Amino acid sequence: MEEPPVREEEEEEGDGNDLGPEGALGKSPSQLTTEDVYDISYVMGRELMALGSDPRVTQLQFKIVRVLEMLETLVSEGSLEAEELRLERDSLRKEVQALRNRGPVATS
Amino acid sequence: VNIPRKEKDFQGMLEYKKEDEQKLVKNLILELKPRGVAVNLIPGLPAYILFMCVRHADYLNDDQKVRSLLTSTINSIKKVLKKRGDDFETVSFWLSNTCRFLHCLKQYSGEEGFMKHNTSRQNEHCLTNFDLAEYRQVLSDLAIQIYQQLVRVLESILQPMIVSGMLEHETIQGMSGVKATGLRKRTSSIADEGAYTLDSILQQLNSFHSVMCQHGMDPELIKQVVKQMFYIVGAVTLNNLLLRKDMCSWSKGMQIRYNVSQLEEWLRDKNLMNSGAKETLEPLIQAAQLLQVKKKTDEDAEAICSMCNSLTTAQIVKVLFLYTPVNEFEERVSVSFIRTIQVRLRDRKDSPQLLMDAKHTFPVTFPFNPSSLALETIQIPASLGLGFISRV
Repeated sequence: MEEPPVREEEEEEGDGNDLGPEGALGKSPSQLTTEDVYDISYVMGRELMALGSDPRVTQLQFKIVRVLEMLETLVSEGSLEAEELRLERDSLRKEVQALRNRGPVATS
Repeated sequence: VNIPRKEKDFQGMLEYKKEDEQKLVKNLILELKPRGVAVNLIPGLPAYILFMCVRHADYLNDDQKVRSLLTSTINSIKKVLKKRGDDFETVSFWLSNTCRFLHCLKQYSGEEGFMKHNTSRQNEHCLTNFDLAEYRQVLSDLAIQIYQQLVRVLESILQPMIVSGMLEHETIQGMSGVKATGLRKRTSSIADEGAYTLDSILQQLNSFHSVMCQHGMDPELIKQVVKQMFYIVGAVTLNNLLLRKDMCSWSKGMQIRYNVSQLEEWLRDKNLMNSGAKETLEPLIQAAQLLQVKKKTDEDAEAICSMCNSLTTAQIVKVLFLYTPVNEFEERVSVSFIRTIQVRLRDRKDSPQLLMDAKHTFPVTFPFNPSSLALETIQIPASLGLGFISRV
């Protein structure tokens, strides 16, 4: 039989090396990586499993899967999008700067 | 207004069209990442999904579909392991899932011996048309093969750490006596940077253990993996001791015993004291004790002979020959003392073996481990990309 309680032990262990599975929940949302999301799912999965196999628990479990899938997408795509926008902004800024520097020369 | 729909009562089966079989194994096996939201939250999920597909084919009494699915499953797992077989995470993931699939085929086989822990609902989910005992044998052979691959991978990762971490690196400050001057210390600590320490080994064990836990590997199987890892550490360390003069001193004995106690502490931490892992270190522990005990009188010889029952005569004699005193208060082991030991051990019928076989793999078993998971409650997470299969 699966014995979730036995696994409780390494829950504290998890805090050891670079924060481990538990540490992800202590992070700032903006610093989350997809690896953190996977760690969170493992930790939550274990806790849900410890509640037994009540169908209501399983239903909740799959809703949590969905929520975490959404979080995963937001974390990976959100940072990509922000990075793209940042690059775009920086290049526009540079262009403005270049035009400003050249400005007076053009009018005279 | 959202009218709440009555949840349909599912039977815990999954249906797919025959022409989608390749897409199924592609998304569920070939291209599935061993780390992801769904598989982390529900360890063994791919195995449960595969089994639920088998159930529907069995329900349809479609022997051709059952055979085709099982064959594709086995071939796809082999293909993944051929491609990414040097990645511990991938191998651990598929070992766990292959075992879980095997457990499902037993738990729901309809054979009474496997139904003892089932709920009545689970009993209703047993296969009705086909006896898959032969496929279970094939899967069990596959699991053995994956286990051996897992051992090879962890061996190749541990191997370069062992001598450095267990023997060369000094965990106890100032142990080696003579070299303890300030300047010397500093240079040696710089040289240590980048070299493996006992901590590197412990961290590596942690990371192996946590990956296997995350994959929901059977606790009994994790114990066997840990025992195998400890055997590798013990055998490689002892072999180096037996080959290097500079490793046979009183202080190295001290060092080794301290390192071994840290490894034992790790086992205690992880609740693995009954895994048989500690016992595999016994020859190394005895060699370390041998380095530390007195080696002069007949009583000393007698004590050594009764203490070192996990070492061969060849190993005991070799350690005594290599023994190098660390300070002026100790002496070399006399030839007559070694002779006394040899005479005492003459009646012991042991092997002439000097070095341990560091490549030895203990035979693995996969004890039946039924799950309490209710198949009828399993849903298909969107991230698996299996929108084309439907719950029945």
